[in-house]
Amino acid sequence: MDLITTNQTVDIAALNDRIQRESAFVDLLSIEIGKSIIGQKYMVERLLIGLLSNGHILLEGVPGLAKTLAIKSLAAAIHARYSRIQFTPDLLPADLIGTMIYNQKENEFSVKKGPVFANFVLADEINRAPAKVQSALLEAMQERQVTIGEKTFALDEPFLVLATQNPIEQEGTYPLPEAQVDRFMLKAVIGYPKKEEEQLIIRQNMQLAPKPITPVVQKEDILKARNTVREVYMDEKIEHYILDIVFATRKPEDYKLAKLKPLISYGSSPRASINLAIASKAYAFIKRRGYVIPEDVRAVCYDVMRHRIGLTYEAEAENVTTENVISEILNVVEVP
Amino acid sequence: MKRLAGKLIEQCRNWVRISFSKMRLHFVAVVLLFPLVSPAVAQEISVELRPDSTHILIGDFLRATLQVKFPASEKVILSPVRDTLGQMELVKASGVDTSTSAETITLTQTYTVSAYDSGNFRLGPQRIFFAGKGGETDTLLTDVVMIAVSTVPVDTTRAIKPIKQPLQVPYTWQEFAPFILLALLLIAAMAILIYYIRKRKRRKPAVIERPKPKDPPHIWARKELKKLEDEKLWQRDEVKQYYSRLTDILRMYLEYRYGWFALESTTEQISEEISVRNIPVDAANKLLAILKGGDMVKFARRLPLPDENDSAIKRAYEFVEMTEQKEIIKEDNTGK
Repeated sequence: MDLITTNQTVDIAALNDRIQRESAFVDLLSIEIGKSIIGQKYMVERLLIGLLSNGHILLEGVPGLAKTLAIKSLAAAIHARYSRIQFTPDLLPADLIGTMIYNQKENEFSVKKGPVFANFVLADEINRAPAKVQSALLEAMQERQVTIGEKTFALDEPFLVLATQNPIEQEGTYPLPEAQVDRFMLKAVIGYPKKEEEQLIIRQNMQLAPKPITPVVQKEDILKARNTVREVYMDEKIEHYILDIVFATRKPEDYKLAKLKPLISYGSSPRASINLAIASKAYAFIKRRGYVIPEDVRAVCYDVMRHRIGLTYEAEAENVTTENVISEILNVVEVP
Repeated sequence: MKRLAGKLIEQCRNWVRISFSKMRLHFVAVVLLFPLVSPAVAQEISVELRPDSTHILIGDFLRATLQVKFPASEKVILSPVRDTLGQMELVKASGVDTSTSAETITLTQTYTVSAYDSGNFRLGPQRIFFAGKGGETDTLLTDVVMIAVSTVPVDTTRAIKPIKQPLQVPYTWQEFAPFILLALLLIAAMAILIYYIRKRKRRKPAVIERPKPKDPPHIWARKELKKLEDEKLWQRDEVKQYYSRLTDILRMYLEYRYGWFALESTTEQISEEISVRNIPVDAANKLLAILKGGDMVKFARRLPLPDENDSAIKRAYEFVEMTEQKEIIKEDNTGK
């Protein structure tokens, strides 16, 4: 495979030092979030990856896993505006983005902004609302702007949408189409906490006055960190590794994975490669490193790719999940 | 003699009046002549045709039981019944039930009869054949029973109603049972078929097939390390290439020596794997130092000192030496 080679000159040592300094707020954030969220390290890490790489997150997990609390805590720790929208079948796009209201006094229409005008938006149970509402939100996510009437409003940065899905109830839901799911940078599947973590959760909830979360990070710090994340060094070998993983979903037979071919209806889009690269950089940043290693790619691979691989009916009949497909690929693609 | 005959006629009349009050006159003669058939046999063989009722509605079914008792020494045959039993239409005749006790045999047969006109109908007589004294076949007749068949009484006080539609006979389980059974069998067969197909196709973990060297792993590794040394890559400023080759040789050696796919594993995964394998701690530390140092060169553009490059390959040789599979030479106890 002929791939473009780059000869960028990067002072990794200097970058490492800078990242050590600039990523210090990650620890502060983790401590603050940890005041209300016990365990769920995986979820908090994914929230931070989304935050640092300017990508939206789809959280999937059964009710009661602190999905809402996590994003509330994150918003509270960052000193940013937070809003929550409970998606229901009768929700309208105007309930989300806002609408024009006639002002009798002024004798004109004025704009009433919707809850999407916030830094952190929690779209709870996104699959409960019909497609028109979902697409209104996803449009805002993609364009980072909202048009109400004739006016277009840019959304404040940082703008992070966290959508939740309940995997156990499918009745009366409107599953997100593949094209729309693809707009979420990560799809994180949240599991139950460990036994000892749950014990701590019980104790924490028995407290009369829970520890308040104080803002420890400014929005500007996040925006600055986002720029630094883009600068994290990614070697060509890592780029090839990412490409191999993504291409293995499209042409598994080229990677001695011919048995996966009948299971995959469509492979990951270039958006997967982009997001895998950015998420790997963000993960390296969280780990306070100025360069990406294969472990970073592997750490975010499932979250970036699980919603970007289409499975065939045969795969579904055999109970093969996208996670199984990704595991097979990771086990076969050579690590640089 | 005249008195005796008159008495006998009077007795017969009484008996006829009681049992066959509605019997037509020409049957009376048969009954009167009945004792003349074979008084001796009549004492030994008894026949009885007993209906459930002597009155039925038109079209109703009536059950009549024929019972013949005779000594075991006698040979009795029941006359086959065709379409009618006397004047009654035969609907169904059961099989002949034979029961034996001490010296008597009892034959029992049940007839289901009906009549499709109103009036009085004769039920019987039914013929029973038996071997007579001289060996010739003799005949015995059952009593004749008159069955009154009446129509459904019409209530003339009520208005005339249209003819009723045929009754819908409710479906019974017996009717459905064969189909249900067939469907269940088909479902079971399909389930078994699907199970076996799925079992056959059950996903097996990816198996990477690579040609194995002819030499034992440690000899192969030493040869490869020597080749790498001779190529003098780092001396020609190809440090990254040097470390890539070095780490690949060690990964391949792990695969050949321990049979796990180290080429597809990250440094972190190798670190986890060697902790559960029987690898000496010193050797494991040497390997991890090379891999971690290699990662820094490969992914973080680190430029190690010449001494470090030299010591890396020395460590690789040492690791191979410490982990090579030793030949166990058994001592010869005979002293030869």
